[in-house]
Amino acid sequence: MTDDRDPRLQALFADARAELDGEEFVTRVIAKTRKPKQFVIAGLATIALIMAAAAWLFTLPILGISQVVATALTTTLIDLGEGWLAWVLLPVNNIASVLALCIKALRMIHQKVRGASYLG
Amino acid sequence: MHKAQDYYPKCPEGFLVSLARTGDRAAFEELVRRRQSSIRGLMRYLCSDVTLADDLAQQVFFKMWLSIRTLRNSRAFGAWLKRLAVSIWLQHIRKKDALRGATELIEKGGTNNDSDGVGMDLDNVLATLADPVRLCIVLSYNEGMSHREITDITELPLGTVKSHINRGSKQLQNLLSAYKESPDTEITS
Repeated sequence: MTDDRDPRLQALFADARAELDGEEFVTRVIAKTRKPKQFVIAGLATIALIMAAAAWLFTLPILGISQVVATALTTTLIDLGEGWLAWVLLPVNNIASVLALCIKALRMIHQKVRGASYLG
Repeated sequence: MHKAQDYYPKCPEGFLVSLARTGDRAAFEELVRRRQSSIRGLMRYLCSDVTLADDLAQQVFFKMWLSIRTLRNSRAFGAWLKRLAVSIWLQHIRKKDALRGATELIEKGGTNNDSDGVGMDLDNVLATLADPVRLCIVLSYNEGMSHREITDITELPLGTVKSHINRGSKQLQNLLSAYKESPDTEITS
């Protein structure tokens, strides 16, 4: 595509073009690009420090809570003794599997209700 | 013993762009050195204020450093950098909400006094044009871009770009002849 340009204006722009000395400018730009890196390093160091402090403060309580939760979830629902049936049903015979089934059922009901409302 | 960076001034630009994309600061520095004059020149025409132009040019190169990894084709670097420069300038203009009254001439005195002769005349006269008109004129005459390329870069309709360039060219010619006759008088539309 050729675009009409006024030759006199074109010549004027060409005459006015001058090479600008830029060492100082380049130094400023490079200095500016270094600053964010320093901020990122400082930010990461701060986050690491906060995480270390949190770990130091909360590790023991979190461990205690997770032990209680794990024990509660693995509690058997029906006492089947020590026989082979107890071993076979072990994966489903606990509170965790009942909870998982409940969540699954709730999700299915939720999806059905949502689907019905769209149809309506 | 020579370092690899010592050879950067002799390297082709595409190679430097590829290196800068991997985070090579020395390659980026060399690219800034090579392109600073054209980007600062473009900004000076667009801003008519040397300090502001250099600040905006600095922003352009800073943005370039942050986003050069997204540039897939090293050969498109020049056009990409120009697009970056225009978008930085447009952001600056939008902040000032100066895109209104696109086709009107604004009565403004020239503010750039650090050059002389033809450059100063041109700077002073360009400063009197409305921002979008000046943008189209500078991209067309200074950067040698086609109307279609200007449309792509500015997101202005093609008809508007053509109209800005035609009208702007006529205004520039009139103003330049008036300015040359009496450079001390204030330019009015």
